[in-house]
Amino acid sequence: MATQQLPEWADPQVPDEALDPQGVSRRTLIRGAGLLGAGFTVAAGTTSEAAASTTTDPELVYLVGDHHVHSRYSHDAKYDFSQLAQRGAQYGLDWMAFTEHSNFGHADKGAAAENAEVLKARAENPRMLIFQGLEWYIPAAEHGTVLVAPGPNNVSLLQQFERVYDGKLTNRSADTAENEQHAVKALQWLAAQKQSRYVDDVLVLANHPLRLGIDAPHELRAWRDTGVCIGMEGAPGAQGDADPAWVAYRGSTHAQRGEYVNAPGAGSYTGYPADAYRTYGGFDWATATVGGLWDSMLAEGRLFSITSNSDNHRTIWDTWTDGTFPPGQDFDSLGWKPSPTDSGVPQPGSDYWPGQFSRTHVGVTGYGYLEVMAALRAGRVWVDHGQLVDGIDVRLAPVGSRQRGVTLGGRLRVHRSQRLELRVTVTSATRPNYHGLLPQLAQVDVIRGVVTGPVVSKDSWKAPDTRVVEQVDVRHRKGTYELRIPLGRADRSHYVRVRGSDGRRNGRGYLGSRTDPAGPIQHPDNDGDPWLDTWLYTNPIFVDVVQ
Amino acid sequence: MIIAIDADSKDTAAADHLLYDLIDQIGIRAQPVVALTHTVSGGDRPHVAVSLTSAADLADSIREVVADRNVGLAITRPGASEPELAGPSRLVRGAYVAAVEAALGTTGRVVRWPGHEQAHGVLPAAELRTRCGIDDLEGIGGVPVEDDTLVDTLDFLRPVRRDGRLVLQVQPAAGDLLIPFELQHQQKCCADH
Repeated sequence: MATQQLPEWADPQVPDEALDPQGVSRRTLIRGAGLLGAGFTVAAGTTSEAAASTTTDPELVYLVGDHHVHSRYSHDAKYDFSQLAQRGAQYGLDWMAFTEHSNFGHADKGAAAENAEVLKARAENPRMLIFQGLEWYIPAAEHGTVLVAPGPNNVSLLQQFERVYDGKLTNRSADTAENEQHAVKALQWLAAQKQSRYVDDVLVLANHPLRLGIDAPHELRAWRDTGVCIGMEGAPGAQGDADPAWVAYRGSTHAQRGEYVNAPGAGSYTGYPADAYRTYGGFDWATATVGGLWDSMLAEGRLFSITSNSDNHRTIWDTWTDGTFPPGQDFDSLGWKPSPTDSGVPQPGSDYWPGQFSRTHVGVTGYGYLEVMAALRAGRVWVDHGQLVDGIDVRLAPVGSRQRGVTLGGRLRVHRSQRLELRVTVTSATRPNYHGLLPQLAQVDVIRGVVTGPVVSKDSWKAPDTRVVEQVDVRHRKGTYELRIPLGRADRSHYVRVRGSDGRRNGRGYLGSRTDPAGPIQHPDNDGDPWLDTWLYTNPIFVDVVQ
Repeated sequence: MIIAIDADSKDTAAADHLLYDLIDQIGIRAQPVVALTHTVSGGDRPHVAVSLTSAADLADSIREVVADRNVGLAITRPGASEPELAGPSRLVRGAYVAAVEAALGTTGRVVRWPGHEQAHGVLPAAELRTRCGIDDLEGIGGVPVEDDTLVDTLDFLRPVRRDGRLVLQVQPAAGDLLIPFELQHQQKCCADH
């Protein structure tokens, strides 16, 4: 394995002049925190879980990643690893995960062959962290990312897992109680593999959860309760599907961001309304609805993370076309598709390149695979679309406290009636995005929800005590600035999370304007320019009130 | 008379095709008939059953059509308090559910109804309601539906029954139009991406 190096922006040996404005901006952030140089290095390969503090968290370095990317080792995608890794690097990714679809061809041959490609991609991109994961067809449900720490058993873990626990390969797609139980067993099996040190770490994230309405709230909770499934995609990939120019070129019919075009089917959870099947400002209804499904899980007082990924299969406007199979061969006989070729004309697609539009930011104290996984598990995560800001740091602390405060995913322990404040530091975007726009954050919302404990019904998807409590207009703020937002006295245990947007498109939230006066809204069919409707979401910070 | 059939259709598209087949083969296209699909949950696997409601006595012709298929059948004659049941017990259950839902009018997805033949092209909302016999148009995402709002039927409407009313869910589309929420081509379970 090639020697791991730091990303250029974090490597003091790379001069500032060699970086683009976004790289300089990110470097300035960690330099300001005293982390550039000895403070932030490639980790030794072992890590302890992020230590849980109840008063303050350390300075973090946010790495940009994507845990959901397909290559030509998936039956419905087409690119080579090197194409994807280069693109990821171009768009500023520090880490990415290849998550090929489970298939017999993949389990038999693809996964092993893919590993050679992953090793090659790592060697070609020594500054990036490149995971080999899997996209699991969850029995009785949607898909999920299986993220595994690199190591000698990475590949065999995935092969065993897909043969025994994949919903498609084991014919367990149907929405039955037995199949739902099989999904839980699958996660328990993964937990045991970590426990026995067969792999150093493994975690699962639920992908495009509401696309078909087949991930019921009780399923998400059951997966969470295994400890292995730590979150879900807050926004699906395929964000280019409804770009009007692409729609016009392709002659698309009924395009939606995320390809969320469905109506309920036989396996759908009947408690979801029709509105649940569309995206809101590009985000899944579960996450975008203030007081909705995500909040109902957080209101239990337990962390569940969100992420945002490309789900790259086929990039819009890109001209490369699928490789042609040799005579007599197909995907399952080979385990992969041949390399693509450049046709010179745009090919069908709905996705952006990894990092180009959708990003998952993970806060770490050292650079390495295990650090990224530990940070995901600790919930030190925020996500954005359209490269909306270069950075955001969120801290919650008692008013007047000299400590930095507890950050995303953490728990602040306070006495009743203590006054709290939220400290949000925004670093504005410095580089035009890939739509030629310099993104400008316009609106910052603070969302607070009371922790009400375990739900009575596992299928609950409402958190009636969660709403937007502050809206701050930042459309004229530039550079790096701090917002200190007083949150009043803590009288009950609760959580706080932050949302931001470019301010171009918003309206009454799904659960009403008292809950969310200016939230993300659906877009008309065939008319959803993702670059003109961009949002960021942070994970929550919990407040535990003690007597 | 209500005839409910559970042929273990795995999705609504398959159930629609079953209904097209039945309507075709028994030649009731010209007669007023209400055809619905019903989700059957619980049991070994969720799937979709269908029902046909008609003033005509279709029992014999339907029995003939499905004679060589493995289906559950529930036939409710006018005035009867319970349907007559036939077929394997696993599928009879679904047929029974469909028969009850069809009789009560509380739920179900509507494939044919008096007025469906008018559902073509682009119509103002008020005209769509009166011409097609739709009781309510419901905009998802809180989109308002005024009488003069244009709705492109896309020649494929699947209203739902809700408490005895026929409700068509619609969504906004490019060009200031509304289109049906349920589109003809749906991603399958186990879809790609």
